[in-house]
Amino acid sequence: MVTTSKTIQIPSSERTVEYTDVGSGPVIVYLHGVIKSQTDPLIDELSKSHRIVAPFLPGYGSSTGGPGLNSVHDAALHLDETLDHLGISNAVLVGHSLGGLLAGELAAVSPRLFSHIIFIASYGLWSDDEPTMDFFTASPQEMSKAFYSDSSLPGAINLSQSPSEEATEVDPNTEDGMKIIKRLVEQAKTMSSAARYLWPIPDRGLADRMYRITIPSLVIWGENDGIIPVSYADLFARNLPDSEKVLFPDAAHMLNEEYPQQLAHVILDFIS
Amino acid sequence: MKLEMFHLCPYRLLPKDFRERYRSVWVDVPSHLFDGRAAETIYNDTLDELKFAAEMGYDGICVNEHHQNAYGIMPSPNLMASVMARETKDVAIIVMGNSIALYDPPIRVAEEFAMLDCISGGRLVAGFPTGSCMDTAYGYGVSPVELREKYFEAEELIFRAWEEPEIFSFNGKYTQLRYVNIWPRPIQKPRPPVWVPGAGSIETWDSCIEKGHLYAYLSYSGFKRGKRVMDGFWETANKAGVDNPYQAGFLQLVCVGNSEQELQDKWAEHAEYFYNKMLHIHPGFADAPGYRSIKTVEAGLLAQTVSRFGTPQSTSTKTFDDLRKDGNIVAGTPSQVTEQLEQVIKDLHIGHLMILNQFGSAPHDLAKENIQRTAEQVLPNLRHLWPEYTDHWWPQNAIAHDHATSVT
Repeated sequence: MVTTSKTIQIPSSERTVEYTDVGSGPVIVYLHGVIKSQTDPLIDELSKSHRIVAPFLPGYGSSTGGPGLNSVHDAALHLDETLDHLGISNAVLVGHSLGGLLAGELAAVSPRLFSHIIFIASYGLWSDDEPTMDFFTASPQEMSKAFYSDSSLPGAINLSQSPSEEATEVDPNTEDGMKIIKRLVEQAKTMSSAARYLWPIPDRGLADRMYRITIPSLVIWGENDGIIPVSYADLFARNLPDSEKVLFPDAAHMLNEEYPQQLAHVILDFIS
Repeated sequence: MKLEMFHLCPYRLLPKDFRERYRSVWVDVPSHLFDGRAAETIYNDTLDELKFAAEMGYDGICVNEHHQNAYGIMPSPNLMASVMARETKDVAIIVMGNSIALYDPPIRVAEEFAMLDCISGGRLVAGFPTGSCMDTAYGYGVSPVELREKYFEAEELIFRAWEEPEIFSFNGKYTQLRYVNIWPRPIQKPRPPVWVPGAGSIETWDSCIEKGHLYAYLSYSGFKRGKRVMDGFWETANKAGVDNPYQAGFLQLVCVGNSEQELQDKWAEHAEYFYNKMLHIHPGFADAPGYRSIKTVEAGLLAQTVSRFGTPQSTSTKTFDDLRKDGNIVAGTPSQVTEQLEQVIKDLHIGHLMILNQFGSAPHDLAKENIQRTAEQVLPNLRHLWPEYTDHWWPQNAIAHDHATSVT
């Protein structure tokens, strides 16, 4: 199912936010990962029983990014303001990957906005013993392998076939050429937005602030995660005051695409 | 026309199968390949060659900054420039330059450049590169999306530190200083000439034109591809009413021989060493996300130029013949080299040509022979170019040979 997105402008900051708003019922705020799934089957699953509000992170889609949102605190305040503008409170907060890092920061800043928080294969902590993968230096094929355990998924194929600039001689005078150029520019834009919060080491001190996240927390990880090793699930669980942990034995980083039904089930079970 | 000798100070002892065994000459080049005793020779050879170039009649000598690599082992070019400031008497000391976004606080650069200007008696050119992606984003861990903002803030601070007579406070986003009052100050007033090495970023062109800095395109893709970039620069410049070739520089690898056979015998292996090993950079290190602005990425794609360090990564190795044919290297007899360089100078509309006479694994004696032949048999026949223009980007107390009549 293709979910359509809307765009709003926050009057106080004049920033634009593109977001998906589907389903009805109690609200789940969902922050996407480093690679934003084109169509996210997890949203489809959760929206059967809940209203899903999923803002595009700064610099993704038509959401405002840029130097004004360089720090995770800028981003957390911006997300707080976004939710305030949409009139959302007492929601469940779900963050995947990069979205998990920002969810953690948001919950630490505004813990009273949320009833539960769920970290899925989340950035935010660092272990010298098991560094996260530096995917910025990887080829699209290497990235695809690390993000997905099932290489036949559309997302995995799409990622492995991403054009790379040095390997591509594109002709701007053709329609196909312009398509590739558009995609390369979009890729450059989203990856540099991710770099804002992840460079050079994806640790902005969240561990020092996690004591504020006293709401019930669930940590979910794929045991085959090639981006953030599964050992980080324990790190998160240890730092969170009130947490549970669920592991998916065969999943990699993109659990939302690989196991959307099971993932939704685990989430709904936890919050019910 | 001004001609300068540029030295990269390359590590000359990489193994024959380097390209096959290792993925990159930069960032994660294995440390066990480094030998301190070999570096002792390389550093001292480099200093000798720069001094020799000065004695042979080059207008200036250039050193530059790179980190965590075997391509050029001068993380601190200021140390080399300091020796040269004392060892030479009249040439321009061109530090090409200090990656100002990497210094915390950046007044360190203002101080060291001021020292160099004083030691040399006002012969310093202050080079302000953004820095290659490998050096900045990977070697020094600067966020690529913040690099340019940091760079421009550092530039403002350094200029003010040189020029403002009173103590001031600087409240920047990246640097906060309650008291800025550097000692020493440069001899040159208001400041040493600023040269900005670039790789084709639009922001760098705009900034050079706006602030009146010299723009130097340092690429190894040769003058054919170089022309596309320099055309872009001049298009921007001309719109602002700027057309003085002295505001632009270009880098060129040059070797002079007496015959084809001699060139082949003496230079082929060193040229191939340079292109196949020194520019063997893992593509993942060459272009971190955000290192180039979205505007530059887009413009590069539309104009079909790749604006990044070195050459576009090629999977195949290149031979000396390929490199000459593609214009990466200018090699020939003195008259052939003179003719080709004159063409490059005119095509690219540049008043400063930075010549690499030592490159790759070229040993000391061969480098010196090349410096001498270039200086004696090529340079004198290029200096007469651009007689109608004045060089406003030359250190106040450095010698100037330009506008001299040609010798035959």
